Amino acid sequence: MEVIANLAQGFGVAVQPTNLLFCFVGVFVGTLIGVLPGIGPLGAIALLLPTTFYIPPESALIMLAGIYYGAMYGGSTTSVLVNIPGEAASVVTCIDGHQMAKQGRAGAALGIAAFGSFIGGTITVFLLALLAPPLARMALTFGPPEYFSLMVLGLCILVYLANGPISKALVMAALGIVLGIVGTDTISGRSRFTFGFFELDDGIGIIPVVMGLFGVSEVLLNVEKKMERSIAAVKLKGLLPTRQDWKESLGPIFRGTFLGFFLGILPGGGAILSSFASYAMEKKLSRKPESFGRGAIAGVAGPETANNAATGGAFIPLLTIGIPTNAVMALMLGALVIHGLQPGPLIMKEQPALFWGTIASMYLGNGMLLLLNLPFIGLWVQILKVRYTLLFPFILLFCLIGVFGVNYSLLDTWLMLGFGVFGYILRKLDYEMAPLVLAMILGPLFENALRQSLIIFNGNPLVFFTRPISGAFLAGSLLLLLSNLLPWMRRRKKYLTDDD
Amino acid sequence: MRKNTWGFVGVAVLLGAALAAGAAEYPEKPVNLVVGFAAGGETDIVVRALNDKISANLGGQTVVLNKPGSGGLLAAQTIANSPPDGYNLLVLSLSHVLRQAADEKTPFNVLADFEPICRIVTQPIVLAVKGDSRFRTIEELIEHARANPNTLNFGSPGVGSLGHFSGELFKSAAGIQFKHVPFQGSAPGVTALLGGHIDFLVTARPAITGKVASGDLRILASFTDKRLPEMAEVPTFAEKGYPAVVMSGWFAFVAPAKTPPAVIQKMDRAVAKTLADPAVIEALGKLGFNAAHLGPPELKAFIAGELKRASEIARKENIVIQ
Repeated sequence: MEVIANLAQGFGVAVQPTNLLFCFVGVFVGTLIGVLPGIGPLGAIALLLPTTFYIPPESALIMLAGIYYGAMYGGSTTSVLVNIPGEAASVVTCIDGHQMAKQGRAGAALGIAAFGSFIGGTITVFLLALLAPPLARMALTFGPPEYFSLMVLGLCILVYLANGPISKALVMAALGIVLGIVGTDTISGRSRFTFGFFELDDGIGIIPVVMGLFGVSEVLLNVEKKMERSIAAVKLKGLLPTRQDWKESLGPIFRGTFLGFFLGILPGGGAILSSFASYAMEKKLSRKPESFGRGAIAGVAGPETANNAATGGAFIPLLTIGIPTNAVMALMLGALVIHGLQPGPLIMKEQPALFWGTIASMYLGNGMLLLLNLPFIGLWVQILKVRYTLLFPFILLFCLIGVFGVNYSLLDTWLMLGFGVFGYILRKLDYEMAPLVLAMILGPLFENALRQSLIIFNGNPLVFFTRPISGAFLAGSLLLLLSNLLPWMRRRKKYLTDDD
Repeated sequence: MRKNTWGFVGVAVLLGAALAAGAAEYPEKPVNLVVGFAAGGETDIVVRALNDKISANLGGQTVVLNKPGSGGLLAAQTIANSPPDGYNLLVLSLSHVLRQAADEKTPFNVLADFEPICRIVTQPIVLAVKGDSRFRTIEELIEHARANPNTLNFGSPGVGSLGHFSGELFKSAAGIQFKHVPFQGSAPGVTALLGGHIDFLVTARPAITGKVASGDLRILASFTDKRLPEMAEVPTFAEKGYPAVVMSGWFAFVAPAKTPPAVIQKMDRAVAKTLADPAVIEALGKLGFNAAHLGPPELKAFIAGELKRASEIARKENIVIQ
């Protein structure tokens, strides 16, 4: 009942004309950048971040969230029609989606992707509304020892879920922790690694790092690629999936919803992993696995639903414990902090309009996306014809304006460019950057919680094991580390993350 | 020759008139009110709440400019090095003074680098416990701390914050010992207090107003010099026998050193008139601030006093920022 009342309040906020407008702007921009290969939701959020300073925080979050899940919709269009993923979470959609397009069933593929996303998004909204309040209440009982152990678990999951060899993920996480140390130490008040630049007292901002690593490096990487865009003679008739399509898709859609939602909650999980995991799962569960890779509609429905559901799940840790689990959420955290809001267990109670308004807007936004994507698909295809020689300089320009706009700091601007080049090198060497960004956020929280615990409990490290919640988190971390030693678990993880 | 001299005098008179007119007509262009924190922060909200009325009373446009960085230090350093023409004013706060007291390498001097214009507002600092805390009064807390030294956990919004300084001031005046647990800002500190992970928190009141109204937190004592009408039931440390335990957050407008007195006075008059407006007082009250105007000479003495006291606390309690 409480859930209904809360959602009702949320819809009251979400249907205000200005918020509807910002929601529309968000999903529109999201679809646009989702369609365009080369920029992901991060770049677009970074681009619009400075505009959010002058609107109420709930409108800001509604718009930024719209970009995030809107990009998941748009990404599928490019995957299906051009066989280039519009953004990373749609990579797996290329496999069967483009095959369907070649068989003249592009309409059905796009249709099921949109409907699947809508169904997944809708269920996710209710899961969020249902799960977030008890989780926030639980998070209030977390003291410094629990936060410490949670960070340990988070860092373990982060490394565990990373693609590729664990050693590379560890290197990135370690680098992230070092970057997170820069600035004034919370506990002692001493400056660390600032090299006398007192602009670094606040630490290295997460926004320039994220925009550099993900935005600028993406542009650099794309400049050297030659993109051929043969928008295959696609017939866009028959967007509505057939009865047979629905029969084959319903299972994947529902499984994808729950898989995506829960993977979205985990640090480093998120949209990309959940789409791969859903594809792997559907292939395994399918009665005709040989059809995968040859235009199986389940291979489109599952992952496309899962990546949308994951965007909803990712809001849970941010809005209940105040911890972002991926780079997009890190930027959302930045946007809220700029408004003087500190996400955490209290935000739901103190800013109900913000919390429930955002959740309700996600439901409305999913509806808007359905209308935006299906009837206007031809329009989005036209956008694919924009020349990249025009597009990339603009993306770079907007990144520069965006990062400068946050703090009016030239240092931030140079940091972004530096991290852009660094990110380019990392990508060339196949290092994943998500562990770096998340470790940079989790590291200081981890250190503060450790030292606060030791002050409160007079230097006794046993509290981390004897307090039940904290002990459970640590046991979970240990299990995760041990499981990696078992060969059969390693194979399964490989199957989940590397399969394509 | 004679003609030339008269010409010279004429030019000099004209120049003098132009200069005089210039001073009288300040401001000739928009005046920047520089806030050292991001838009939406509490300093920013206070200054924006006043901005339109200050513009009207000044007879010239004022613009709120955010220059966030290093806890407000970046803006202070910038203004300290700006031309003293009255077009770039800084919103100075107690945090700047505390920083200078705790950090000998602070890149500015609050006394030497700025010309005080006027204090704008004060903000009460309070000591709060959880709603169901075993401590019903401040005496109970002091007694417990005296009987059990170094067992209570005192949370603050950070090392060198006004909550930290105030808590240490209380500790040394009461002659008791407790542990300091710094958090990164007031929000995580409030969360930890609500969860019962620390025993009490010292912070500016607006951070906890909602939680006090709902009964989740209780204020045991306030660091104000006398009881405030909006929390009449809360005793002050001064009336409990600790007259030295008085501290309030404050914001003030200052200009770069050597700014002409005429400019300072004109700005001060505009702000004073704004702060006397009942609508402004009410708006500030809703934000948790009290309009508290102090003119240029009084402000100068006030800042010097605050710095002296903060330096003493920092030395005594070894509060160091490097």
